[in-house]
Amino acid sequence: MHDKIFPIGPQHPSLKEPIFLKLHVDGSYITKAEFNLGYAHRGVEKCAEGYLLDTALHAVQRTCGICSQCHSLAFLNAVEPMAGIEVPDKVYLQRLLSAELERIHSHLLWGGLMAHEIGLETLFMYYWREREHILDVFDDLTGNRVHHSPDLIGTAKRAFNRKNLDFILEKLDLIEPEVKELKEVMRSERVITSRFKKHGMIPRKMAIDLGLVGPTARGSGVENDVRVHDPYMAYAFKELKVKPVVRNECDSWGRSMVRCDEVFESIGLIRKACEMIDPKEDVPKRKNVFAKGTYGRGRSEAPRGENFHFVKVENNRISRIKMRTPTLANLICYSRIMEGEDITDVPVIMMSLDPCISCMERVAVIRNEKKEVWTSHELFEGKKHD
Amino acid sequence: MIEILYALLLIPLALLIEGIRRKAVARMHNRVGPPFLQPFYDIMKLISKKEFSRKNLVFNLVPYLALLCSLAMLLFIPFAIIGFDYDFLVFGYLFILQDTFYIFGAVSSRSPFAMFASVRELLLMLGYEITFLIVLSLFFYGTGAMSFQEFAAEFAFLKLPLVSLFLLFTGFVILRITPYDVMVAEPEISAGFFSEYSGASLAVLEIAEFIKDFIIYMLFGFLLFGPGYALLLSPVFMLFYMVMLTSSPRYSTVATVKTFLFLALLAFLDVFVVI
Amino acid sequence: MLNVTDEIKKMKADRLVSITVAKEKGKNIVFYHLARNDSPEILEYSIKVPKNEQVKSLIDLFENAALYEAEATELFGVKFRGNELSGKRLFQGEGPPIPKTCAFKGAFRVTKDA
Repeated sequence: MHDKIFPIGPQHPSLKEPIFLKLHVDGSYITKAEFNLGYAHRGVEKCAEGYLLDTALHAVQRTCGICSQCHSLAFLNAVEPMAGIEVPDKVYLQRLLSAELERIHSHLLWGGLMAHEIGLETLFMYYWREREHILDVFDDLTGNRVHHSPDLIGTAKRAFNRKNLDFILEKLDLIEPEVKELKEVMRSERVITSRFKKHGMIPRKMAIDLGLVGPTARGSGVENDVRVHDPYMAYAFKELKVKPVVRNECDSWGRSMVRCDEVFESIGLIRKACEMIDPKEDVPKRKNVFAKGTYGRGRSEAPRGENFHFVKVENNRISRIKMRTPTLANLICYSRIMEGEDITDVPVIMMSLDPCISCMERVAVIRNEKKEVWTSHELFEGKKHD
Repeated sequence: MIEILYALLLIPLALLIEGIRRKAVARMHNRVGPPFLQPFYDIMKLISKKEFSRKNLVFNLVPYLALLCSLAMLLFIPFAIIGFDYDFLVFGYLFILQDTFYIFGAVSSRSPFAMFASVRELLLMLGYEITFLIVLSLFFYGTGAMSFQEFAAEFAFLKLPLVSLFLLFTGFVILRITPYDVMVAEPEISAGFFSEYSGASLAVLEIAEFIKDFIIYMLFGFLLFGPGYALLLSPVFMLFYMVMLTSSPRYSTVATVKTFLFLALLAFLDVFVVI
Repeated sequence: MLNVTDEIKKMKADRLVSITVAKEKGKNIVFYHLARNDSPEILEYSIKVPKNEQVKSLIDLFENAALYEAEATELFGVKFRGNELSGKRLFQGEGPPIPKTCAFKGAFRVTKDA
């Protein structure tokens, strides 16, 4: 049969964000897969340029809705050593609380979308009902549900008091038995296992060669977790050691189980951290920050993998920031694992890799019916530069 | 002739039953759901939208032909306005014809999603159409009637229990309940069949779908419980299928085909049981 | 053509984290960040690239360099020899049709208020 192209995207009900996946199909088997990007670029890296560090933090936190705290932590990891400020323990613990709550929220969101892909709408609604509890917690802590931004450089916007901590623990007690049941459904429901197992195989060697990160690699037996190898902030306290969740199945089911188990790991960490926080202590007041030195590097563990920020500071203002998000690191494997699969398995595989396209886009300019991609020089000057 | 008026009044009732079904699905999901009159609002909104249609005769005609088929089916159920010998076969044929029109429309639109959906639909049709016709005929053979007007057996499911069971199973496929909704699978092929229709044509197609669903509920009530109870008991079937809808995911295509071929086989065996 | 492969091989890294380009006084500098599995540090190697020079691609050592180099080429114009994605825009082939009324004139500074 001749080569037909089956487009998935840019607009498609199964993709939550626009990405264009061109599949060359033969009947219903995929022979080749290519992808195009660029449909959701907002120029965040450019947005943050030219501003003082605190204002740039505001832009960086709004890169993505689901993983906003991890971008903030990576940026702070890059900038705070440059500024040489001493951060108290309570602020570290608060940041850990936000980061782990966000990890739970992101995995519950992922769980719902996974169920939606295979047609089980009821499970989708149940997962997102649990997620509402976490969003209530964010609302109580910071006032926002999605782009909750509790951080400032060197300090936090407010100190969590006794009522906040009790609310967190109460909500965790509500969620934990429900999530256990939902994980049981994912683990043992026959239809789910027959559709997830043996599809989207990433062999361990491929995961190491391509440098994959996050649950995508951990589902293939590669133990790759920034919180374990390079503990930052509160993860360096000895009571809060993280045990990475690794499975050896290498398929979509393995990755799903990794994400389900990470929720319980996070719940344990949050409970321990809530005991360690002193609710009466206050956080230091916000001060102006002066960065010495030019380059800063920082990384953090996002729900999807390792998030790396590289910051160049000139005259106390940001002059270049590069955010290498985990989805960009994993993108290289998308086209390889689709080959040989059936078209009906594509949504399941895509969702098991958990792309967060809004974190990682490029710039596209449309002019005179032709698409051009501009360099940063052209973008600033506003004209094509040759 | 007053029955024709009754039959026409059933069309808004079909839309209302669909609205109740959606609300019931939402309550199963623990959310509020759309208002009861939502299908009416949808149809009115679609009629007011601009239509992007191809210059293809088949593509433009298919919605109206499909609506014609479902309106023709209203002549038999629940009040048999016309009747002749073996008219249940004509009824079954109208049923298959409506699905065939969907395939014509999908293929003539030449979009990759629709082509894919029509291939899967043909695969499923191999199974459920034959089963449906066999089961329908078995009901009439088993109760000794030759047409809808003569059918007067009350509570026929007590006399023909196995046939009733298979009728209910076939209902899953006809109503496109998951796992048999592979042809309109939303995440995979973005609602394959109807993906190229818009505006007034889509409104007509939706009305045809709602009427067909309502006729199925009424048919099951008619066959299983008797002509007098058909209208009253159709919401019961609607609720039964709604519960089944919300509790099952979609299997892979191979597994789906295997399940209903198995059912078709059982229907064949059932012929020997009855005769 | 600038060859960075030997220096990077000497670092004995297990994984490539990122390839970035930054500008210093108008000149492009390419930064390579790598990581080892057993140590917590990030290894860094940087090289200044003059205007018309090409850099040899790292694809032979690390396969995921393809995407990072393609991004560097698209945003800053630094060309990498040996990487077929780089230089060829990531928008391969045609995209969706673009309406005639889409016009873009002038220079816009990206500002942010509040």
